[in-house]
Amino acid sequence: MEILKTKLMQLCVFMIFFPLLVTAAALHFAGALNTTIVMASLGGGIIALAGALLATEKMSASAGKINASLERLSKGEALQPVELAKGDCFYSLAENMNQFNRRCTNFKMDMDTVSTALAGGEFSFSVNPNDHEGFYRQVLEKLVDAAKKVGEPLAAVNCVIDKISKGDITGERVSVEARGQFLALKNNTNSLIGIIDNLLNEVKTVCIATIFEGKFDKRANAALFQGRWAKLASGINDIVNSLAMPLKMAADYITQIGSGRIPPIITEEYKGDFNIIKNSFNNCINNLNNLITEVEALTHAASDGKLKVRGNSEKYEGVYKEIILEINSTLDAIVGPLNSAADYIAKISKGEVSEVITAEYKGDFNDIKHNLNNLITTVDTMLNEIKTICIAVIFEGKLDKRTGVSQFQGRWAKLASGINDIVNSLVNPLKVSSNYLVKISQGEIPAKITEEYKGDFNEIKTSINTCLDTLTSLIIADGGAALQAAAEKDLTARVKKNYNGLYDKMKDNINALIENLEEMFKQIAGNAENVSSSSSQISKGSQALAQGASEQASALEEVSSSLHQMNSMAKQNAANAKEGQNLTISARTSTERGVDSMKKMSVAINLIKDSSNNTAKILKTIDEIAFQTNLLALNAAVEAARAGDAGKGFAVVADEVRNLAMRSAEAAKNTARMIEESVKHANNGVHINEEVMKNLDEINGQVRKVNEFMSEISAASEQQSEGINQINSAVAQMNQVTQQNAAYSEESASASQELTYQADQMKNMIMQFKLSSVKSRTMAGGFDMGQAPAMTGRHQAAQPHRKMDFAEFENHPPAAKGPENDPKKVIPFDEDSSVLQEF
Amino acid sequence: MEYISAKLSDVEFDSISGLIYSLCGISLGAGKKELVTARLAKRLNELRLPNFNSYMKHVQNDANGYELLQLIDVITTNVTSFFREMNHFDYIKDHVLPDYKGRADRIKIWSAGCSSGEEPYSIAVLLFEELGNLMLRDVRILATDISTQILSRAREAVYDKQLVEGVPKVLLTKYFDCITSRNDFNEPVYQYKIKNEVRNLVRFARLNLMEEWPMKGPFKMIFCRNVMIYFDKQTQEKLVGKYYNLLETGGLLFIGHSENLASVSHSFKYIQPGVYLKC
Amino acid sequence: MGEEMHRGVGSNVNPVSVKKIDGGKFLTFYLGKEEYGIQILKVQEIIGIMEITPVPRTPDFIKGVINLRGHIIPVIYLRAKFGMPEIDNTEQTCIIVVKTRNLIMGLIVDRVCEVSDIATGDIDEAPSFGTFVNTEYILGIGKCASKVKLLLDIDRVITAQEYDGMSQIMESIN
Repeated sequence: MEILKTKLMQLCVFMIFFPLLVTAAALHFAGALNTTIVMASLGGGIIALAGALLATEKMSASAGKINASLERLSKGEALQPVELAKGDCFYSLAENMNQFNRRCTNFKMDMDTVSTALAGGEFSFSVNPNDHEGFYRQVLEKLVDAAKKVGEPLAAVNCVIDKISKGDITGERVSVEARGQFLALKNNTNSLIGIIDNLLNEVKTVCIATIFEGKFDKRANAALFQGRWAKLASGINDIVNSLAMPLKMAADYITQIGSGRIPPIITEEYKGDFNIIKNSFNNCINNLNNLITEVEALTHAASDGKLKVRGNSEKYEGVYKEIILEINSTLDAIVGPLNSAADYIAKISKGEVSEVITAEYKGDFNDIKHNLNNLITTVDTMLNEIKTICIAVIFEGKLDKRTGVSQFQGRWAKLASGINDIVNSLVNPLKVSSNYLVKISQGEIPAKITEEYKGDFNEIKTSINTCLDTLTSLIIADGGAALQAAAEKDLTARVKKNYNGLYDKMKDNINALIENLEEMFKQIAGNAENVSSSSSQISKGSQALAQGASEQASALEEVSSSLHQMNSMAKQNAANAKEGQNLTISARTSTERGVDSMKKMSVAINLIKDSSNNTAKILKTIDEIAFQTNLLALNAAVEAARAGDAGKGFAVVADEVRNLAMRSAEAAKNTARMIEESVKHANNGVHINEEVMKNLDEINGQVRKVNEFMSEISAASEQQSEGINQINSAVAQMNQVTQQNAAYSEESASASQELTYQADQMKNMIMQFKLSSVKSRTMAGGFDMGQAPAMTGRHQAAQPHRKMDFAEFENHPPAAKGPENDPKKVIPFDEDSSVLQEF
Repeated sequence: MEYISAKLSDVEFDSISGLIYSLCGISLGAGKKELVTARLAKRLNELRLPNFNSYMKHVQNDANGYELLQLIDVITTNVTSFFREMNHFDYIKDHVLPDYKGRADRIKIWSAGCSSGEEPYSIAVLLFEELGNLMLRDVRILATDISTQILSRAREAVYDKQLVEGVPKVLLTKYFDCITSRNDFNEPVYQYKIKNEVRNLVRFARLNLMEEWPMKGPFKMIFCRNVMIYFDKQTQEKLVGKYYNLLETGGLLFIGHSENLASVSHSFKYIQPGVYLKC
Repeated sequence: MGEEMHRGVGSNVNPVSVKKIDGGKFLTFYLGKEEYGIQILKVQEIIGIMEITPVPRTPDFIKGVINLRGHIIPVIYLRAKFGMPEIDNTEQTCIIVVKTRNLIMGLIVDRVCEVSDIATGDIDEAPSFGTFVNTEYILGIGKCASKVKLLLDIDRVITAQEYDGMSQIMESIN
C-alpha cells in the first residue's frame, strides 16, 4: 500500500507535471519560455513511469511474501528423499514418504513452484494438480484455484493499475469476479479508477480548457473528490489559478509585445519560476527594446541611405543576436543586391551593358534581378537591334532590316518602331529607286515615277525619270533599234539621236561597232571565199596525197616483197656462188686430172702417131716406089708407044708393071688410107685430145673465170644483200613515212573538208547580212594580187649565188677559178646557155 | 674486182648532203643516208677509192668540176616514163589545147627535170597529135635537167622497148621509128627512136634549178614533176615562186602526183591534183 | 684403060679451027681437078718432082731448071701458065718432060694419071668457055667413060715468044 501510495503520488506528480509540460509546450510555442521546464516535465514523466514499474514489482513482492508464508505453512524443510531401495519395505513408505516427500517435494516443489510463482507474482503456474493426488491435489487444486482466484482479480487489478500507470484510463472497471478482500480490492480499485477517471476528466477538462482552448477559467470540481483527491483537485485549481494569473499577465505582456507595444518591465516580485519568468520577461522586454532601438537605428540609417550601417549583434544573445545578425544579413541581403543593381544600372547608364545577372536571389531580389535583367536584356536587345539595323543599313546596305518591335514594350517598343519608321522612310524611296534600278538592270525600262515625294526624294525621283527617258531612247527606241536591226543582220542601221556624255559615247560606240561589223563582214565575205577555195584545194590535194600515199604504200609493199625475194635470191646467189666456187674447185681438180689423162692420152696417141707415121713412112716409101714404078711404067709406056709395035710387048709389060705398081700403089694407098685413117683417128684422137685439152684448158680457164665470177658474185651478192638491206630499211622508212603521209593527208583531207564546209557555212552566214554597197578591198574568189610582187621580191632577194663552201674539208682552197665553183661555169656548156637564152 | 662496201658516217653524210644541197638544192634528209651511201659507193667503186673521205677530197680536188657532175648524176634519181601521169596530159588535151587551136601565138613549154626526155617528148607528141602540123606554129619545148649524162641520153631520143610500153600504139607508130638490132645471142632487139620532127621541138639544156635562170619566159606550161620532192619546203617555195613569175597569165604549173603545194605559200590556183593555174 | 689403049686410031676430030685431031695415046695428068692429056709422042719421060733451080728474071710460069741426067731442062709450071693459082708440090707432082719444037722442057703437073688410048671419035672440039685454059692450047676434049680430058697441044701451050725467051735462057744457061 505504501508502494501504491508512492505510485499514486508519483502519478499525481506526473499529473501536475503533465499539464505543466503541456503549458510549457504551449508557451514555448508562443515563444517565450525556455526549455528548462520542458525538460523538467519530461523528467517528471519518466520518473512517473519508472515509479509505475516499480510499483508493479513491489506488488509482486507482496505476493511473494504471501507465498513465503505458504511455504512457511508447509513447515518443513525439504526432506532429503529417502532413498531407499525398492525392495525395502519402507520403500513404499519411503516411497510413500519419498512419494510423500516426493509428493511433498513435488508438492513442495509444486508448492514451491506455486509459491515461487506466487512469490514471483505469478498466478498461473505450470503445475498440474493432476500430477498430485488427494489432498495435495486438492490443495493444489484449491491452491491453483485460489491462486487463480487471487490471481485473477490481482491480474485484473494489475491490469487496470497497469493501464492506469500507463495512463490508459478509459473508465473501465475491474470486472472480474472477486470476493472478500479481492472484492474490496476490486471495489476500491474501481473506485480508484472512478476517482482517477474523474480526476482525469476534471484535469482533462481543465487541460482542455487551458491547453486547448486557452481558457483559464475552468477549474476542477474538487467537490467530486475527497481527501487528498479533493486537495489534488483544488490544488490543480490553485495551480491553474497561480498559473493563470501570471499567465494572464504574461499573456498580456506578450500580447502587448506581440502587438508591438513593449510594456515596461515587470517590477512586481514573483517567486520561483515566476520570478524567473518575470526576469525573463524583463530581459525580453529589455532585449526587445534594445533590439527595437537597434533596429530603429538601422532603419534610420538605411532610410538615410547609409547602407553600410549594421547592427551590433554582440550586445545580444541568442535569437536577438540572431535577429540583429539576421537584420544585418537582411541589410546585407538587401544592400548587396541593391549595390549590385546600382552597379548594373551605373553600367547601363554608362552604356556598358553587361550580361544578365546570374547570381541567385530570392523573392523580391529575384524580381529586381529579373527586372534588371529584363532591363539589361531590353537595352541589349534594343542596342543589338539598332546595331543590326545600322550594320545592315550602313555597312551591308540591306535596307530590309527592321527592329523587332514585338520584343519590346512600352517606350522601348515605341523607340524600336520609331527606328523602323526612320529606316522605312529612308528605305522606301531607296527601294523604289532600287526597284527601278533593278528593273532597269534586268532590262525593263519601267514607267516613270509618278508618286509625290518631298525634298531630296523628289530630286531623286526627277533624276530617275530623266534617266528612264534616256535609257528608253538609247536602249529601245534609237540605240536598241539600231542594234536590233544589226542583230537582224541589217548592218546599215545606226543610232541617230543625240545624247550627252557617256551615252553619246555609247551612241558613237554602237555606230562604230555596227560600222566595223559591216566592214568586217564585207572582208570576211571575201576571205571566206578565199578560205573556201583554198580549203577545197587542200582537200583535193590531201585526197590526192592520201591516194598517192596509199598507192605508194602498196607500191612499197610490192617493193618490199620484191626486195625480200631479191634478198633471198641474193642470198641464194651467194650460197650458189659459194657452192659454185666449191664446185669449180672440184671441177678444176677434175679438169686437172682430165688434163693429166689427156696428156697421157696425148702421149699414147702421139706414140700411135709416131708408129703410124713410121708405118706411114714405110708406106710412103712403098708408095713412092709404086709411084716411081708407075712413072717407070709410064715412061715405059711412052717408050713403048714411041717404039710403036715393037714396043707392044714392052707396053704390055709396062702395063703390067704399071698394074703392079698401081696395085701396090693401091695397096699402099689402101694401107696408107688405113693408116691414114688410123692416123686420122689418132689425129682425131689427138685432135680430140687437143680439143679436149683445149676444152679442159678452156674449162679450167672458164672455171677460173667462173671462180672469179663466183667470188665476184659472192662479193656482189654480199653487197647486193647489204644494198637490199639498205633498201629495205629505206623502204621501211618510206613505208612509215608513207603511212604517216597517208594518215596526215587523211587528216588534212578531212580537216580541209571541214574547213571548206565551215567556210561555206561562213559564206552563207555572211550572205544573210545586209551590207552597204561599198566595194570590198579583196577580190572575191581569187588571190590577193597584192601579194605576188611581194613574193617575187622576196624570192629575188632571197636568191643568193650558190657558193661552194669547202672550208669544212681541211684547208684546201676551193678548186674554182672564181668565187663560185659552179660546174656550169667551170665546164662551160655554151650550148646549154644558148639554148636557155632562146626561151 | 673487189667491191668496196664502205660506210658513211653521220659527219660525212652531213658534209655530202650539205654539199649537194648547196650545189643543186636537193635536200637529202637523214632518211636518205642509205640511198646516198649506195649511190656514192658506185662512184667509189668506179674511182677505186677506199672510203668517203678520200672521195670528198677527190671531189674537192677536182679542178674542172667533173666529179661534181658525176656526183649529181649519181645522186639524182631519174624515174620517168612516157605519158607519166596521163591525167595531166588529158587535162592539157581537154582544157588547154582546144584554146590554142585557133591561135597563132608562140607556145613555150618548159619541162624542168626532164631526165631521159620522156616527158618533153610526150608533150611534143601530144602537141603534134592535137594541134596538127606544128610547122606552122612557133612551138618550143625547153627540157632541162641537172645531169649531163641523162641529158645526152635524152638528146639521143632512143628508147628500149620496155620504156615505150606506156605509149599508145597509135602514137608509137606515128611518132617513133623502130630500130632493130641483134644482141650477142643473135636475138632481135627493138628500140624506138623519136622521129625528127618531134625531136626538133625539144631543146635540151643543163640547168641547175637553184641558180639564176637565164630564161625570160613567159611559158604557157611548166612541168616540174617529181622534182620538188627532193627539195625542202623553203626551196620549194622559192622554186614555185620563180615558176609563177615565168608563167604567163593563164599558164599552168604541173607537179607530180605525190607532190602538192599545200604546205608552201604560193599564188597559184589549184585546179586538180598536180595542176595549178596562174590566174 | 686397056680398052682405051686398044682403041683404034681414026677418031673423028672436029676442031674449032678446022683442026683434025687424031686419036691415039695420050698421057693424062691432072692440074687441079681437071684432067689433061698430051700426045704420048710428045712425052719424053715422066719424072717425079725434084729440086728445081730457079732462074732469075724469068717469067713466072718458068719455075726454073732441073738437071735431068746431065741435061739442064727448063721447067714450066703449067698451073701458072694456065693462070691457075700456084700450089705446093705433093708427092704426086710430076714433071712431064716434053719435047716441043726442039726444046725439051718439063711441065710440072699435079698428078700423072695414065697413058690412055683415046679414039678419034671420042675427041671433041673444045668449047669456048668453061675452062681457065685458052682454047688455043686445047687440042680437043677427050671423052672416056664419064670423064672429060682436055687434050693439050703442047706446042701451043708455050707461045713463040716464050719459046724464044726460054731458048735464050737455056742458051745462056748452057
